[in-house]
Amino acid sequence: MAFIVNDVDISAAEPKELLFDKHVEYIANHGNDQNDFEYCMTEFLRMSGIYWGVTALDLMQQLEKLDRKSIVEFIKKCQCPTSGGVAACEGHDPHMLYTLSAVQILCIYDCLDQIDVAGVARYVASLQQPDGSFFGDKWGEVDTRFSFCAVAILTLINKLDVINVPKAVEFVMSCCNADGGFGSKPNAESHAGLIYCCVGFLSITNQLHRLDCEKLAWWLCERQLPSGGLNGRPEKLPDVCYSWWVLASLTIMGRLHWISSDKLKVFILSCQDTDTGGFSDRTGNLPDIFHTLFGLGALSLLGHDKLLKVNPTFCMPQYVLDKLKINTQIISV
Amino acid sequence: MVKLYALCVFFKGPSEGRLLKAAYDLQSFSFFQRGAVQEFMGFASKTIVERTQAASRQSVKQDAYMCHVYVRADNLGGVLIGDHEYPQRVAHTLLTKVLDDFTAKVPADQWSTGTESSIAFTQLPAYLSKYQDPREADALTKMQNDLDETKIILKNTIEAVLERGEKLDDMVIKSENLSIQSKAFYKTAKKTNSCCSFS
Amino acid sequence: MEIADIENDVLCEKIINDINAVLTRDPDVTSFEIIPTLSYQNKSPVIHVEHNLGLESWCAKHVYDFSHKTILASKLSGSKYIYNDSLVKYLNCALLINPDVTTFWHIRRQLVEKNKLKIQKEFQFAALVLTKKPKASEAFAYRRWLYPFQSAESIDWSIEIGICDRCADKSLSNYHAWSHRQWVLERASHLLRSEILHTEKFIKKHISDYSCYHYRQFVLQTIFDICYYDKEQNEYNSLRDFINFYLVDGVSSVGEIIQTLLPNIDLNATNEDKLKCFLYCCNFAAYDIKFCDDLKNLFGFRESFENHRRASLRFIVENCMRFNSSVECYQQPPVSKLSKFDYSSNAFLMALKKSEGMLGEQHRKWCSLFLNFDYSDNSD
Repeated sequence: MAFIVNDVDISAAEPKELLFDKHVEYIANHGNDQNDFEYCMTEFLRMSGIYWGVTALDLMQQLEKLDRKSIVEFIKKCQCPTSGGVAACEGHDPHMLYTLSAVQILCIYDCLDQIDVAGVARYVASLQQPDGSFFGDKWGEVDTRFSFCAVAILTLINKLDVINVPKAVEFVMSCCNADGGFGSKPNAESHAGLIYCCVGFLSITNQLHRLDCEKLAWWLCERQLPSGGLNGRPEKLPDVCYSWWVLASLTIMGRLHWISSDKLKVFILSCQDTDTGGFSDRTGNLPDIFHTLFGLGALSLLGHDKLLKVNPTFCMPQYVLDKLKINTQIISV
Repeated sequence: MVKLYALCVFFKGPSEGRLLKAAYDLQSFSFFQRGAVQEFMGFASKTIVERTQAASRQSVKQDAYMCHVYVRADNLGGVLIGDHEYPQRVAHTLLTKVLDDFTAKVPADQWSTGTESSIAFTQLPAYLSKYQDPREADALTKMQNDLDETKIILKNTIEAVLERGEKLDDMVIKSENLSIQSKAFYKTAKKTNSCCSFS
Repeated sequence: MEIADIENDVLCEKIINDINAVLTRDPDVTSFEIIPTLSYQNKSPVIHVEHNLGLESWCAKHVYDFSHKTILASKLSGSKYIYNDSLVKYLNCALLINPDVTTFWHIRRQLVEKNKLKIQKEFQFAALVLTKKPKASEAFAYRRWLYPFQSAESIDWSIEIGICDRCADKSLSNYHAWSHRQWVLERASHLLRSEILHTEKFIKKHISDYSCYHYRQFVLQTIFDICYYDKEQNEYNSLRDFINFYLVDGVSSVGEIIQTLLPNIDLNATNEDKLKCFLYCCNFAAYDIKFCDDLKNLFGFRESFENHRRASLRFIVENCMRFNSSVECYQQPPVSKLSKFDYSSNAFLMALKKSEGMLGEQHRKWCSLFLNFDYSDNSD
């Protein structure tokens, strides 16, 4: 009996080359129409939106297309003077997710000194819990994403010593499932995005030896569908952002070659919008800035010659981390 | 999802498909969508019946839905719309059974002139409800064995069923059976935007 | 549609008042949705039919912009917005249209802390938001946050399970709904039994929703961890059939089942509750293996069926190994630590290993990796 899978068909008419200039244009113009409903609806994640755009353009060596000065000013306004955390946008509450995005942008612009770095460290430390986990903000949601954010932020600002790292590792490892994957909390279903967070976390904290790489890589490889695209969990449709989460995890684990790069490349390229530029989640859908970064990031991991090398742990250009003298652990097989 | 939404019986006349009876189960759609969904399922059923040759079967995929069509040699046709996960073999066996039952209860001379209100056949809702669970089809085993699945024509979209020069968008705009409200739903549904984000 | 700014503000204020009037008037509103409409029509865009609330799409952007602007202006002005519950009507509209805005939920949290909002109403509101967006993680988080404000006796966990069920029904593999359900189950173990039935029913309708299968694995593991079993149950038919599939000399009595799975066990030295729980759980897992085989026969080969079958198989094999190697079953050592277990002393596991090894190269690899079966010595 045939194997039934949820997947997409890629028609011959879909793009096969990287539409470089279109993407530059798409990102540079993103948000120019501030009356756009979509723009207003996504204000709550603006800081991450800027990080996605800045990183994507930097990978394409087109960073000058964005106005550095206004972005840095924006970030300064978003830092909360009391807690030290950074909000997605002025008027919103600070959160771990947007604090990481802000720090990543400032590292790319090489101007961390523009914000209160000690405040950032204080904020992150204040969110660690006795079991080693992290809240996303003061209201108490726990998630392995926030563990990743915490150590990524503190490593970028060179203040990892303000938290209890062994406890943090213990919590992340308690979220490891029998299938080798990780979920958002202990016993939660394995999920490629959260696996990326946990693998990235272990790479930053130099604890990759704690992974059961054979099992985890098995699970990650099963994400590849006949179309070449990767999904994030069993039976889900392929999605460009999982090209990043899965591929980056496999890269950190030294097992990128376990999936078919050629087929994945075909899938990612088919998600480009030929009219507007940008990548969508899957073939035929509308593009957005989030999938645009992760499409480009995945192509960079696959060695695309028009893109700068990306660091699989931080999802930032490798040269930025080199400049900061940050080494992330990678398993070599 | 393992789910059946609509079951219709048509007579395929020389110029158009004539709806004789229909039943719907649209509880899983949001309240304000149900009217438009029902109109669209009726529209799709009619469109496909009219483009299916007599004495043949088709299964047409459209997004997450699957329209199973069987038009018999005597031009009596049945359409079953379900989720794509509903087993195709069971769907087609059910169509055979429904049309047999219809033939037994409604004389053939009423088919070419009948309407939903004139035709006395009240079994469709019961069929639709009973076969929500395809395990019920165990009772149809013999019929299932008689069904030659290789003869079912598979189509990937409704567009693939249309004749040369026909465009689904134009047909929707022109259709008199679709309300303004349903056309608005159609237009919005076409704009698929991704909803996934890391946050 | 062009409306001058002032007119726009007046209109938005009116729509917001209309929405809130419905929320106040009808405490039993069961759903909210945005109704696609092509253009402005000269009637109220707020539609209320049979406890369902709809807002026509043409005005959603304006209403959201206006609510958003009002809330943030009030917050940024520092005018003790927190004490001003007239802000609630804007928060209601903004969150119904855009449930992902964490900051807006936080304002509600502060109002709750100041006793400006009724807890029951807040539960209802979050549930209403979930009818519009079943994947709204912030609405689930808000419900979790609200729980400690309730007195223990007023909590009815089955309501929470019902919400998870509806949200999961509407959106495939809804991670937030299933994680929330797990959170509920961790606090309401009396629901374990009914969750076994609920998840089976759900799977029959949503055959490819792997999140539900995973949740069912969690239910099984929880039952095992708390040493639960059904005191009425004296037969383990699924487990018996499962064993008899692999063994030529079949088993029938419970004693034979125990003897087959745990040949080295000293019954006198074994905790009876633990043994009964072991049998109950293995029977559950064996039932699921059969369930997956039946699903495969009806619907064809799917990843969910394969993965869940393997998880169930692993449960049985791992726990047999643990029990047999007299490892304290509550300590849950990873299988890798059991790799030295000599299953050649266990005829049943040997037969299972051989039989599973014949189900294709991929499955055999899975067995070596996840069950520590060694096929190198006697490949057949």
